[in-house]
Amino acid sequence: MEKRKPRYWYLDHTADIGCEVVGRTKRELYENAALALYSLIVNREMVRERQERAIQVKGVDELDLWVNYLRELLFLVNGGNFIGHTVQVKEMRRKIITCVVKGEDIDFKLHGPFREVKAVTYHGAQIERTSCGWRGRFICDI
Amino acid sequence: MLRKIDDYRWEVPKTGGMRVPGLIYTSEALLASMGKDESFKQVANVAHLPGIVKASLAMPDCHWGYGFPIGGVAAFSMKEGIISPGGVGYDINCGCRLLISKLKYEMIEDRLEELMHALFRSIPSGVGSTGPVKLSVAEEKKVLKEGARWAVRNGYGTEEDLETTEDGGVMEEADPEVVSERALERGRDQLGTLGSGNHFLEIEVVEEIFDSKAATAFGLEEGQVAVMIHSGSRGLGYQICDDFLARMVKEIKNLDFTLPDRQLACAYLSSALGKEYFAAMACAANYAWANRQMLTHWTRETFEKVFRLSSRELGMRLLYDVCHNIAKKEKFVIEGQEVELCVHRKGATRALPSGHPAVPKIYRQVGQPVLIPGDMAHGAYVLVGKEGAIRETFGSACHGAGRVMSRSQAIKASKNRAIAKEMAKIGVIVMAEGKETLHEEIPEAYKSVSEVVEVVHRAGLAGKVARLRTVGCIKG
Repeated sequence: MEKRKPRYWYLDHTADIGCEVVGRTKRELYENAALALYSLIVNREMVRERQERAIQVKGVDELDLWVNYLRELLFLVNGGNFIGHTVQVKEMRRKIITCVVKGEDIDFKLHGPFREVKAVTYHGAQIERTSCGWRGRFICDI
Repeated sequence: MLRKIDDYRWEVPKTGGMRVPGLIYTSEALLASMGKDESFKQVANVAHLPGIVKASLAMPDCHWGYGFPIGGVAAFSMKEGIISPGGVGYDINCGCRLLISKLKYEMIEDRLEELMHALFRSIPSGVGSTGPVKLSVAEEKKVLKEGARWAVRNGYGTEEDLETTEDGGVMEEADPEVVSERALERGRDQLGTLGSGNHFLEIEVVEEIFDSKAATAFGLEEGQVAVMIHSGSRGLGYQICDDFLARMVKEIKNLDFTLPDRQLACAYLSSALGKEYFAAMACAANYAWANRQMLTHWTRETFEKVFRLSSRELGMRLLYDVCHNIAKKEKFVIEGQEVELCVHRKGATRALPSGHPAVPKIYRQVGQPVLIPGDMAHGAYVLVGKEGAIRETFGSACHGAGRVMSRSQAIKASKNRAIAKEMAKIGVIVMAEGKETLHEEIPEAYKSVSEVVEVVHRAGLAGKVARLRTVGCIKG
């Protein structure tokens, strides 16, 4: 079987952890970014898709939407005790996104080891079109 | 890019849109490790913000943050200046406190392990940890308004604890009505928890005294057992920072200046949004003080149980409690005139000299205690604020050793190593709850705390009083 290219990887940052994400389309970029975030927090393979949460996020521009989307996913974890396995983008416009998060309530024993991510920051956040799709970057405060 | 002023001061000259120069307190040795990251650029970025006074400062433990560098200090004019949630950080009033005791190390040596296990059980730590207290919204708002006073009123500690807490453990400007529901929700069940990452509770032994006058005033003596607690405002603080950053980013286009980094999003101190953030930040600061006060109470209880001694016999007195991440309205003399400024300290501590009215009465003759934790292996320091801090750094000094390795580098560097065993070999018992915490926190991930402390000592910002050796460490 052909080895699939990585969809995200982590970057070194002295105090924090950065993530770089790619996608063939912008939708895929957003979906992959969720995988990067969840994998940073838990052992994502152990998360089952037992419940769904619909979210809609707005931003003042493309970059703000990118950060706000990740902030919202993180709030579901830290404020709602809900960890996603995957995210499906339903509707995507320049400043608004609607999607469904599939996952379950956090189970510290099952999903661990668990890493606390305090926030997704605006610092160093990027989103851009490339020759082969889309590329995004975000830095988490941990 | 850097211009050396003397052995402990380097200037980032004013260029481009910088309104003031940058000033970095460091040494040749520390500078070599700082050069690897973006912290100089971040010092310069902060200098772009309106109303900044004198210089954008960085302490010797400075390292790359997001927006502001960690170890950054910047003061802004109340009239023309701004306030920035990124200049305070997510963990609002993350801070440090030191409890001293009448116990000597030889009295606890044989029972240290038992003590550590008992503390590990009684102090909720790690990710997702919740405290034994479930607050109603009305009660939570009282915590946000009253800070450490709420904790003392509810039986967690004594009035004397408040006297030796920075600003008495409360920021009066707090207004719980400007705190979002999300933040309130996250704060309801986390009060009285240590948290994760670099938060800790350590058992220390006073190893060496440098300044006997200040040590006597602080009640420190060689061989004495002490406890250092490092924690903050938990999810409530992170959420308040996040909420206001998002709101301020929305307003960026309406500002009359451009930001070099979106994470520096800010609002004028005189604006409604700026005032709201200050009032919300003060709530998180108060929550953090109540939190550390409760952790203190359980620490005392655990000592009493383990050693079967009364609180009087143990004499566990709060030496001091300092904020690391905060913005405060403080008065300084600038060009011969006393003015009120908003001082941002992000990973920096206040360091006030003798005679300053904000220093607790019992320490006023010597100055304010400054607590500097180091890494697990190299212990901590107690310093005392000096006049130089008032003249040069808006009454500020460093806050710790400062990271030199990223967390993932530290994990890689310590792969397949049994960190707890390594630490035990050098006489430190460590326990941790979180994923890879001990690997992320290996001693070599940090700068030398002694080197950092030497810089602030020699630069005249804070003087060395005592060095503490860590013998037990609970990481979140």
